[in-house]
Amino acid sequence: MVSVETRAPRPARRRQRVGRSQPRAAYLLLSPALILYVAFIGVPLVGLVVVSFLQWDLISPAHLAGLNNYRHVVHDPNLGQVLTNTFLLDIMTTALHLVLGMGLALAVTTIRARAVRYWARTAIVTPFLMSAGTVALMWSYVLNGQTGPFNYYLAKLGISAPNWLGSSTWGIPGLVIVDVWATLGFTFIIFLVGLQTIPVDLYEAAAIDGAGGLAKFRRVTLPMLSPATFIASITAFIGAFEIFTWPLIDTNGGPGIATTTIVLYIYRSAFQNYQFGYSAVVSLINIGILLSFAAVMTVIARRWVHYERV
Amino acid sequence: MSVYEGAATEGRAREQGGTPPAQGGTAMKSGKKRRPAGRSDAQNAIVATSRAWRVMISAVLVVAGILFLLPVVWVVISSLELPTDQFLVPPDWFPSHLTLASYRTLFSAAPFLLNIINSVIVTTSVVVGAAIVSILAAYAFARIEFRGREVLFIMFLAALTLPSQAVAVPAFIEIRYMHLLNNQASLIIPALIQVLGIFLLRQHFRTIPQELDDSARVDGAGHLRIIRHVMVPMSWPAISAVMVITGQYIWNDFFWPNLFLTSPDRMTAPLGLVSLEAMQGGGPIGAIFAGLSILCVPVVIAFVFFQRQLMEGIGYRGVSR
Repeated sequence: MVSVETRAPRPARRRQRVGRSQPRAAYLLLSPALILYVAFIGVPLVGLVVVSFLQWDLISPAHLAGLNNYRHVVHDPNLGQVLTNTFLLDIMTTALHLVLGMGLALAVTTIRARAVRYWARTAIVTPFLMSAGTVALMWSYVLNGQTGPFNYYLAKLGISAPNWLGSSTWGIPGLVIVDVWATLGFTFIIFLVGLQTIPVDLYEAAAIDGAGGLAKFRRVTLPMLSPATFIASITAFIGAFEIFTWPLIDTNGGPGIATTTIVLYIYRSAFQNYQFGYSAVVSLINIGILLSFAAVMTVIARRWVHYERV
Repeated sequence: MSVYEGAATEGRAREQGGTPPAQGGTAMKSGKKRRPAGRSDAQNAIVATSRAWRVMISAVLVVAGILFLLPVVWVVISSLELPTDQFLVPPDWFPSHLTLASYRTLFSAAPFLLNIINSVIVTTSVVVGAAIVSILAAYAFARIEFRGREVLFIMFLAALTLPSQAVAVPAFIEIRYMHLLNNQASLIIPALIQVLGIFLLRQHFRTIPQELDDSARVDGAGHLRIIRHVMVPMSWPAISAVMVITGQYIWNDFFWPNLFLTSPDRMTAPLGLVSLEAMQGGGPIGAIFAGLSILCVPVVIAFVFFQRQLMEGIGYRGVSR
């Protein structure tokens, strides 16, 4: 107390004092977060590696399996199909996310009618705020081949639509519809925020240089939007790679394994086939793919993403 | 003009490497005032457009919005129809006879009210608990120097890149060892660590002028009092944004409840509905429609009331990647 008072009139030293190391207070304040971090992020990560070397059904005692699970993964005839499904689903959704998200954000930014803006924003973002379980259930009825309104109206337009969720060819596109509907709001907002950070003077400068609408879009909007595009592609790709609820509820991963994604496969291996060790190996593959993707994107970002230091 | 202005300005400040708005805590509000003049010109300039084009784009957006919400409208209308009218092809968009029969079926066929209460309990516990944990940790990272601060912070950040579903297997085994399976604590306790919340709040605390802490300290305030009387009031908009996105995530989560909860009366609302559907096997579809409608209502209300926080939260989440 006394020392604080003597220091009070000297602001320079006071600032020094604040910066002083106070490890005890820091660790006390951090302790809840640290304990939780270790318990629910650290332990599961280590556990994943440990379990991957075990043969364990959680009922009988675990056996050391050595590299058996890893050998199994190499010879697993299903895994190739599952990865193909996941990547196909992922690439289609990510592409649609970028095109529709950017297009709708541009459209909403362009118009002036506030009511229309509010309406469009509400309509596009609301599905993103709904529970995955709710969305999946809803679409299982909407996309139903016999009774669903979706195909009925497509037929009215002269399109004879397939039975999306029951077909091995159209199952993945069906899940793409569900996923884009449910998660487009997120990408849309990223682009919307990105668009509003573009400084006005860039457009004025472009106009002085005689740039037309298309030139402005290509030379100003697209480069200035590249950070948003980058963020949106990463989140869309990672998000779509973890798709689980739509196939679980809408297609049951079928017909066969035609719509089984990697997370659903992990879930099935563990909680239906009780091969927890094997499931852990597939989880490690899943993490590996996403980490490599993040690494590649970081390299790409260095070359292509334009960060304006305003 | 719109809720985005605040988020946009905020995002911009963040991109500039965190040059803080003068009053850290009111950044979002002041964002509106600091909006550069001629913003609407900019919006116009992004795709140079004539009036005719704008009207056409507006029309397209109105229709797109309607199409986008049509599945929800269909479900809500169907839930109010007589069981015999549900599944009419083509759908009857303006049914002449409305009834709450499906809702009565729902509440008698499943402990749905209990499921909603469970969802509320889990969500509020996580929102409040995670906010406290995040505020304490963020303050330590932002304001106190200690050895290993950088390493610890990077460790926390690294967790952001980890898809939580990838550790489902060991997490399940861990929860089983803790004897928390089929117990809502299994959803609450692990969710108390929200790494994104810690990160965002730490960023925000750093924009609050150090002089405020200093003068509080001179008055004899300890860390906890500084947190309560300086940090929290000054960054309430950011804290509420974090709470809203956490709440949205927890309320809607399906993955973890589906993994941990098995008895219907313990389930959260979305899971309860899905399990009802699975049990009925095509039984009273109306009850499912009624449940879906009930679960959509809070979403719409949440959007109307928390629009600003949601947008900021999502904007933040994007920027932080």
